[in-house]
Amino acid sequence: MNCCKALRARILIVMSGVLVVAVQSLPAAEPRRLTHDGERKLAPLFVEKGEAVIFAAHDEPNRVSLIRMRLSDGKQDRVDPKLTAHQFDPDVSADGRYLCFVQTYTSPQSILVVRDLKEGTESRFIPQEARGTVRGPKISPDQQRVVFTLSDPGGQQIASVDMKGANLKRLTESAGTNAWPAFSPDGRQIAFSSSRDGGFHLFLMNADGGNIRPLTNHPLRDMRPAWSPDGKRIAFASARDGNLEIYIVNADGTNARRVTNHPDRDDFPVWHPDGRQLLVVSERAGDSDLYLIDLDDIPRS
Amino acid sequence: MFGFGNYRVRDCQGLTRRSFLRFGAGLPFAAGMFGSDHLAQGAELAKAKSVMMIWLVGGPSHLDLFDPKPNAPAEFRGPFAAISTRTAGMQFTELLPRLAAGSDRFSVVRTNINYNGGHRPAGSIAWTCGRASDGGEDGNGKPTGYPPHLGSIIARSRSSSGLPAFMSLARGPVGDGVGPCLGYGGGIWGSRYDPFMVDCSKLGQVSISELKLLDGLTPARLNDRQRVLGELNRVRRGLDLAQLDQWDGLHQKALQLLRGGDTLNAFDLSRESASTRTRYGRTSFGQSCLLGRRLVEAGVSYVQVNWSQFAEVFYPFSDYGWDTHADNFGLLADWHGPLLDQVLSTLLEDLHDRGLLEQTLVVCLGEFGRTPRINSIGSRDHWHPCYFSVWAGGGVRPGRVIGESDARGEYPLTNPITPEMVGTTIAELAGVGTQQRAEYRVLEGGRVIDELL
Repeated sequence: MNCCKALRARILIVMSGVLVVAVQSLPAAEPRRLTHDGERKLAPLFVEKGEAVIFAAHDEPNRVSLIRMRLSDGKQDRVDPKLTAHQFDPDVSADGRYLCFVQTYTSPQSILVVRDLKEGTESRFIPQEARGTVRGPKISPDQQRVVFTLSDPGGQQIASVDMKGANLKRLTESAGTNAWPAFSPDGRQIAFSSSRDGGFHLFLMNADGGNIRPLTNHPLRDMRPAWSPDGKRIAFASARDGNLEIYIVNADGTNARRVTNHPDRDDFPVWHPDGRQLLVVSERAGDSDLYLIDLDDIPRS
Repeated sequence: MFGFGNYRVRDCQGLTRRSFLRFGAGLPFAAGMFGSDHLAQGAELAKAKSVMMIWLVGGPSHLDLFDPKPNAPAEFRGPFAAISTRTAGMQFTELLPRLAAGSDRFSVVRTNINYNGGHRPAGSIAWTCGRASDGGEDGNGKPTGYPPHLGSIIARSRSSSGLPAFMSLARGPVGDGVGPCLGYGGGIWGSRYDPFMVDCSKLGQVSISELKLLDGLTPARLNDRQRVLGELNRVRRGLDLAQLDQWDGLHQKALQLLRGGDTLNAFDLSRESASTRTRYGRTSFGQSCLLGRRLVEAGVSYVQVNWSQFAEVFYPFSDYGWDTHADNFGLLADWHGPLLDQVLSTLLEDLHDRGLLEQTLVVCLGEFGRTPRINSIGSRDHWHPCYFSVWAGGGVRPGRVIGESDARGEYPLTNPITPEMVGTTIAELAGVGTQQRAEYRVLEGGRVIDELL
């Protein structure tokens, strides 16, 4: 990994006419670029013990597909080469048995697909409303439930179903918009983003939807929380310095610090299974590509 | 790849000058066709040599972009925070940080209105700048006689630059799931004034599929005038009556393009530096805007860049661009917001840096906005009583916010900006003055948006 330039800055943000001082001491990590095709990407994740990644890419003019990329040589293949529907927002269970993702259905509806790779079966959850959508599904560590963002009557809320796409449970019923749920590694908590108090802030709740409490409270948006494998830290994307950067906060809400510092967008953080690297989608070279950030260069406080 | 008809001629990234010149040298005829029957006259405000219309098809949410309402109730305001811009008193949402930082290059109107809440009629009304509440359709969706598109009006008023004067950058006609917007062309003036359709991919590959009737017309054949004429006649003989009318317009456009000579280089994005192409982003919308800038440089009078099927798509329902009935906030956060912020800010910077902004009027808007009240599935639907437009260059005074919407963004508090006013302002700045508009019998009843000037 390239050495990091230690940039220490105090960032002033003008928000609603008021100067807000956001203090961040940070090194500016030098991410390693993993892809160079520049196609629009979103929602990557590590699979196969960190040997490969899966992500969604806008790889054809009218198609968004799931792509698996082997890290050893960068070889990319579509997960479902023959599928004509759009696929995105993938997740894979820890043991690799289940693959879930969002798939477009009857326009403009999108549905949850849970694929049991061991049994060769596929289950679906279809929103009630003809325009309802599913986004950002995540499989629970015990592989019993899938939590996701559900846009259906009742607004945009966090919900979960079992691995067969049944037994829907609504975990939030709040004003505003709820999105980007993520299970803690022990499966007891869910981090998510919600605008119930204004802008998007990070919240935590128990896996059953109880005990909702704020994790961050910055005026600009915090989104896409991702738990570290040890459950002690949460990476997220935030616009708190004016454009989207990657941040890490302790799971108790303390010690928020910035990981990236670039005028272009850094987004969609996910942890490597070793907990020492973050995978992100960045536009720092103008196009949308995957980058790997070595966290050994980032102080923990 | 630059394609003529269905014959793929070359890859834009590896284009040779020789090849382009072969086009021009082979057809030194057909002068005077298309878009040159009058010169502009009598327009006192004329500053814009060219107009770039950035068309956000589908209806972008005004509250989530250029007219945030941070103090509105939760069921209206949306999740995106308001950020200050370089323009005093004007806020955007946090989805647009680059545009906020460069807001001194443009002005924003916050009280646009349309007369219809359906995509196709509203699009037609916005482009033809008329009050026809039915968008020029009868009850069965058939055209009842459209006024000409604004681009057709401006194209007609200009002398030819060697390229068609009204060019549309899109993969196909703009519309919705029912069909195309019928006001996208010459209307009652005829297909002669329809836009010249050009497709530009995310890699900058350019093709002109509209000329598919000219299948088989290869570069080698184009060097021989007699052979070309024979080829055109051969194709013409193969057409039925219904196709003949279309043929006349296409025929003229093809010849217009082919006699353009060096101006055809405008289609070659490989002539741009890698850094410039990267700044616009590797998306169809981004590269189309870059292509639009090149066409403006080449003297094209009116370029319309269309978002969506057209330029960018994410979900099937986003074939309709900004028509985010579902997942509005997710789509805008993931996709639409960053893309618009990157491309529009880059376009304005690029035009400015090249000294082109003063002579190029850039207008960015859609057919309407989206419901301020968030719908039952946490998204936003169509809203035509109040929305936004962005104006830059071509005589527009930058760094201003024009008009004010109410506390929830539902209705204008100040004078509404009508489609007629939008059209009249663009026409005046492009040199189509009162006298000429009267002569054409177009844009009647409109007035210039004085606050923009």
